[in-house]
Amino acid sequence: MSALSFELKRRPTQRLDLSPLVPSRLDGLNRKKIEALSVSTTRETITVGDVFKVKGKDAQCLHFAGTDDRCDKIGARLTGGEIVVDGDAGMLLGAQMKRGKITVHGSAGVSVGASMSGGEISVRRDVGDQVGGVAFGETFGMKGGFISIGGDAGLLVGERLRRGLIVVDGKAGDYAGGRMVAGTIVLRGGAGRYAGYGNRRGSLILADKPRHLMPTYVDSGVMEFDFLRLLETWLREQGMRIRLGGRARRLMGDMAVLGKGEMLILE
Amino acid sequence: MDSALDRAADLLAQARLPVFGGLFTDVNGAAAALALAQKLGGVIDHAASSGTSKAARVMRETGSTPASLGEVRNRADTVVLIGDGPRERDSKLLEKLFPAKSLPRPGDNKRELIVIRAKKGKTPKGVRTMELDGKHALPDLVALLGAAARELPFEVRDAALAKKVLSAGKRLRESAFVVFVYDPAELEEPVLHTVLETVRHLVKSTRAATLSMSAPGNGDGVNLCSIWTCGLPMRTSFAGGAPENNMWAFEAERLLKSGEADALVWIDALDGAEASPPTRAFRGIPAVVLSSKPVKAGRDDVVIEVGAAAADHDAEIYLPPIAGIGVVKASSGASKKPTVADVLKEIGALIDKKGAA
Repeated sequence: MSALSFELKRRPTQRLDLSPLVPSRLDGLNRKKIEALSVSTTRETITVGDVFKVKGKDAQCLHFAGTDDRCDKIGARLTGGEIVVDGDAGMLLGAQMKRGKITVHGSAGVSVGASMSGGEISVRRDVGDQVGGVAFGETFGMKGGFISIGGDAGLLVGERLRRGLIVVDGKAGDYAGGRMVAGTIVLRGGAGRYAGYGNRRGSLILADKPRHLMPTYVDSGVMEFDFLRLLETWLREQGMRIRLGGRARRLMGDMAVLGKGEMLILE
Repeated sequence: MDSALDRAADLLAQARLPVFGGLFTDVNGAAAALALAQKLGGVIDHAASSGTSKAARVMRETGSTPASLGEVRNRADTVVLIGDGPRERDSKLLEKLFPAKSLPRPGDNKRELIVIRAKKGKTPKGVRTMELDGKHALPDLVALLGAAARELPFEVRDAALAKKVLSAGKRLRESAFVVFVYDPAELEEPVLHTVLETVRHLVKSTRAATLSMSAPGNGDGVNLCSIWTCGLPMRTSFAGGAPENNMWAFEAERLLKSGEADALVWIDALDGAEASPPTRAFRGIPAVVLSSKPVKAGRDDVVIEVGAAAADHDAEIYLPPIAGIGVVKASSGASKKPTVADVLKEIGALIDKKGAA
């Protein structure tokens, strides 16, 4: 069966709420019913059929094509299946998802994977602020799963991260790893100011020493970390070309809040 | 006047996503704006919501520990003033917090002021003042003070600053009542959280709280009105079945710049305060402007003159000294100008009538 595909006809006049387009909601619906689903965010009703050319059948494998930054909430609350986005995505991509896999070939907006608890999100290009951050009504950010970003990330990468792994290949904005509670963030392309601000117990791994280092991080020297090798092996198994090595300078912090987190600067 | 209301009703009835911005108005005006936004599936956002929206997010995630101005004035022995924001919001703030004559306070400490990264200003007479600045930015200094309060280590090259930070941390622990004063519009969200974390650490052994400066233009009053009306603060959309709050998506200026909003209701009708319209707001997007002052508006915009709350009519607004909503009597006596609430209700009724016809 071919993937159920949604091709955007033209740039929508309003933001679209695409959260109904997940396998669990689409399973068992015929094309007519799918085309009648509302995706509007204003009082002018817009249905799937108005903005998308719908093709294919397999609701477990969704394919979006030609989407832009107004296509919000793709894969939000996803509980399984696979979504491929051939284009850009708007805000809240994969927010609060539990299982499944989302791949975006373009860029994505703010709050990618906000408060997600499992599954995998991969964005080939840039993402906005608060990737893996806190979704509305939640008290923690990402709670599990894996996010990989091929390009740059905005402010507050992994805001209040509880568990899970975020890898950013490009540059991360200010306050990367801000207020993380636990979990792991790997920043390969550098970070802005105040990296690890308010970090409680999380691990922030940096390929290079950031230009601005918080004074509330305390140097504990260069050490060998077996888990870095394990992490490297796992990331390579995911198809990433990455080298972490086993040695890193460890800084403990953020002493302003609890001081049990760490910043590892790879040697 | 009636034709202006008619045109406003027509404009808004056709809009796909109207934004209610500015909102420099009293509680009645805010309630009317909320009701009309709900009827039209619009978005509400106050012009000074950058601080209140951050504070709302912080509150939602981890709560808050506020103290009222009177409580700080009468009982706090250590006041930590963070940044320039507080004195910019209220130039007489320090005189208010440190009156010449004070009431009996808990503890034996003399009153002390700790200023973090603020321009030199007049400090109260007879009060020991310590300034934390040096080369570090404000977020760094707030974090350093947090670490010192917990007696945890930190690393700064500037030995004089390190000494000051340690002594400030000691002072916080030994105080009977510490209050951190800040303007949420000036601090970034993680910094607000670190301030709160420090308060939370201090209250294990002593008393501590925060005094958050109120937003201009009755920002807190309008925000509270929104919360008690629909359960959500500023930057809320009524377009869907249930109201939805999003600090990024429903910011008025972003909605106007991106062209997602196709009509603007701009309200600026509060005595002594001026809401600057978003950049280019009046260009291209049809607007209904309710203002108590002369306005420069586009040819197609509908401008309706209204009375200024607290000048032309009595107004219920947020009063920082009591940290609550109170009534302010009209200063210029009875005026014939309509209030924001009158106009918005009238427009709502006209839209209903046109819809029924």
